[in-house]
Amino acid sequence: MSVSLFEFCQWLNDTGPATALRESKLMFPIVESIHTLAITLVVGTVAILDLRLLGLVLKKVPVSRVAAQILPLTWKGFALMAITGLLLFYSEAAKCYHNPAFRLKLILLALVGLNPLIFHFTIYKSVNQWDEAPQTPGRARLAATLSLGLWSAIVVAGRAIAYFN
Amino acid sequence: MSILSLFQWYDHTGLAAWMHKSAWGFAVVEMFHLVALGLFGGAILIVNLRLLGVFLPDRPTSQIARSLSPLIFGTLAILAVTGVLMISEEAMKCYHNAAFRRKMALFVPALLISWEVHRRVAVSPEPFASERTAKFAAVATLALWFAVGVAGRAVGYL
Repeated sequence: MSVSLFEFCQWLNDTGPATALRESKLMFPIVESIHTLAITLVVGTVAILDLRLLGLVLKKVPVSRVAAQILPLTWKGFALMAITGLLLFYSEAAKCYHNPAFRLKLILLALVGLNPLIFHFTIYKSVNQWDEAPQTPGRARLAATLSLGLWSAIVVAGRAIAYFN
Repeated sequence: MSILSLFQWYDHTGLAAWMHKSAWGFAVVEMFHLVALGLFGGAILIVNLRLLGVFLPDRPTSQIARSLSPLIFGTLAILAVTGVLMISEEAMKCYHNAAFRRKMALFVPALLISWEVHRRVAVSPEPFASERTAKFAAVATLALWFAVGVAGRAVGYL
């Protein structure tokens, strides 16, 4: 017997802890607030690196140093986002399944993960040649622009989930 | 003019009427507010982490603060404009909303302290009397902006 994705979401949705979190007047808003404010840790920090790649901020600091200083913060923020995001999904899984903004957000998240992977294994390999340059190569600037655009779209799609509920 | 009458006047402007009627006006403005919040929060965090000696400790704070100034002031301007626009849709609700009142009460000191800290670090190589004062200023700035964010999120819950 096969179980559809929706049936799985419905099952998650109806488990005891999910129902308790969904109906909690205190815990749900706390988890959602942490998820919202962690935007500053993820989008806010990764934007600094993107803007450095675009030559708009911290031009005097080598790209690799900005990356080394920024990315640990971004990853911590991302962990916080992932944990709270999974909890929010878990508590409303059945609703999320049908929500177009949620579906779009998942696609955008996959793309925003792919972007730095490609960047890291292609143009970033030659970072030594342009590390100190205020103006980075076109491919690096393209990756930065995509990152800024995708992260903004993720914030917008995330907020839109509640408008479709 | 009392604050109450200011909100009552704002609630009856053409802008408020348009925001009430529009299906997506508020949502679109709020999304800009959120993206700007992410960028503003990130930049504020970085400057204050530098003051705390965590971010790029070998670089002068003034260099980092000055480099991020346009980003900080640009996103702050977007936050202010979109914030005022969002109030127009629910001016009277905001006036009576405990979280909104707290947010504004926290926003004023957050802005003043941030402004003073930023002004000092951008111009002076020794902006604070001691390392401890610098760290205290950074922690106070971050705590206040965080509280503004928490109260801001809570406006929608009350």
